[in-house]
Amino acid sequence: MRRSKSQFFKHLFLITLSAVWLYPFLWMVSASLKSSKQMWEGGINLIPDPIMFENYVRAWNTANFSGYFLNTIIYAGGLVVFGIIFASMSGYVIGRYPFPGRKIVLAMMISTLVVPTATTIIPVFNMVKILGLLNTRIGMILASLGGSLVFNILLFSGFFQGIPDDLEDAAKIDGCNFVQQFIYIMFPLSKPIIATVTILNFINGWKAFLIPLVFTFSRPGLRTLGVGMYAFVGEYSSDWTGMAAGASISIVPMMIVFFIFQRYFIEGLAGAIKG
Amino acid sequence: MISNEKQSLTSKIWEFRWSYIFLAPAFVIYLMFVLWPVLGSVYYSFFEWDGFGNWPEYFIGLRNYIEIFQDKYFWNSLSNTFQYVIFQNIFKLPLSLVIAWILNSKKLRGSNFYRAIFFLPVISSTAIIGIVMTFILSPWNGPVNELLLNFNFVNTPVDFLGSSSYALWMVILVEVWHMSGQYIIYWLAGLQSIPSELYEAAEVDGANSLQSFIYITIPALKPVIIIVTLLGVVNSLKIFDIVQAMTGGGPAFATDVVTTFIYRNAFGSSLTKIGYASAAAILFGIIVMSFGTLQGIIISKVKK
Repeated sequence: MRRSKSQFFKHLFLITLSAVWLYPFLWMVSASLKSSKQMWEGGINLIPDPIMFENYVRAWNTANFSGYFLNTIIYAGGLVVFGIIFASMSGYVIGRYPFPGRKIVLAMMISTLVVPTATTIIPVFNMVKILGLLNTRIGMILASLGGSLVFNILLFSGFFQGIPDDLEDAAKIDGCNFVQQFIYIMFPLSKPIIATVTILNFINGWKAFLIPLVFTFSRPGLRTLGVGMYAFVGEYSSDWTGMAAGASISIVPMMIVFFIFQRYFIEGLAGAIKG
Repeated sequence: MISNEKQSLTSKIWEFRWSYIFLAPAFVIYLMFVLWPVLGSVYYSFFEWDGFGNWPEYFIGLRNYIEIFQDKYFWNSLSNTFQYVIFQNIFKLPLSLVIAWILNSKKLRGSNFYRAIFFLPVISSTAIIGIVMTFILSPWNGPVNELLLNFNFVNTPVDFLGSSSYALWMVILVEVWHMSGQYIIYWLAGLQSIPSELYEAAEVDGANSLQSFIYITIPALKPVIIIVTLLGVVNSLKIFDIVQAMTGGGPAFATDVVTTFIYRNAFGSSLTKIGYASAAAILFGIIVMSFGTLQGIIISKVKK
């Protein structure tokens, strides 16, 4: 009896909080499906009547959210691909080979781990400018990559360090050279880290704001969803339903991906703090 | 002897040539986009520079730093940042701990489902959340004001983000809502490491769940509490997106934080002051890194 009562209060508490947690998203999706008139009359009513999709058409075509969506995928995908290639290669040798200078490299990287983006953004911007990569996708990806790369390297090197030597020895006997050893044996072994890095870098890319904002000032065509939304507010500040549609386009796909891969997201995050 | 040692180092480097080749791409990116920018910020901070051209030319020594210490807008942004950090964590950490503790109950059904709901804001873009929140808190038909009006809590709509006394609190509340899910995950990881025998022993002694929370959970969680609190502080110091998207630092600089101060001086205003912004960036970096270093030291102590 006592147990079921405490269960009831726990659920009551959690359901109340969940409602608060979900409300802004429900409001956003609901507003995106309302007509502008309904929006202004509806107040707190969440049910759109009739449901209309015109806001999505307007956001997708007129406000160019189709372009922002594609830009965000390319940008976040670039962070994932480059992060995995560069971090797995360097993490592999840092984790397994006592090459001269290894300790210095590691110490340097760890010492800059906690430097915030706001501290480095100005020289990063100038570096990209000097390289002539301002207003390019690759410039934007490189500017963001630095911040996450060290963390990715540490995840990979920690993993590779724990793998027994037998596997490499066996590969050597089979006539594998260094590169083949890495590509065919070691890299495929690191699947759990590849998954973690994919999730972390993709979320970071999808959410990133400061770097995409700074790097698309003079090239609106490269804006990501967050920056596009920010600009949209400045340009069409009275179109709430259109903005709600834009916000839904930016947020809902990530939620669906999260629900499918929930376990990996949570393990990735919990693993990232342990490591 | 010396030449022998040299020989051996060269041959050692040659022996590990593949290691260097594998390290190279990441290391070059690291040098260009992480290490140089840290040093570059220091270098720029000694110059007066409007950002034109590739390099600063007008060296002014420590003048930027002297000026910044006398700039009331910098102190205002620093004070807002610390208010934000303190109160956001005072709300976020205990709230997320209590939620995690309930979710960790043995016989609770649907705990993964609740966990997913609390986590949803974490994976959502901060800038977009900020914009959605400006609608939700709007005095013109925003749902929060509608609710307050319907229940007669207020007679006229409150302009939450337009009032310098409420705006920072709104930023704090939104970020508590936004980030708690992440801390629930951290707390859950900590709670799951407490051996269940401890709770069973307490139950035998007749402790109720609140007593076991206070006398078993909290003491057993002490190292985790220290780590998660420092993590909360370091992460919240870096606040930028939500402020830029929700209030732009306004009204009247009431929500201006150090990062928006840096941004405005470097990229925002018509009068670009790269050197000045760099000096602010360095001071900000020192603050964040001291907390970060403290965190590193404590984590390594706790792990031992």
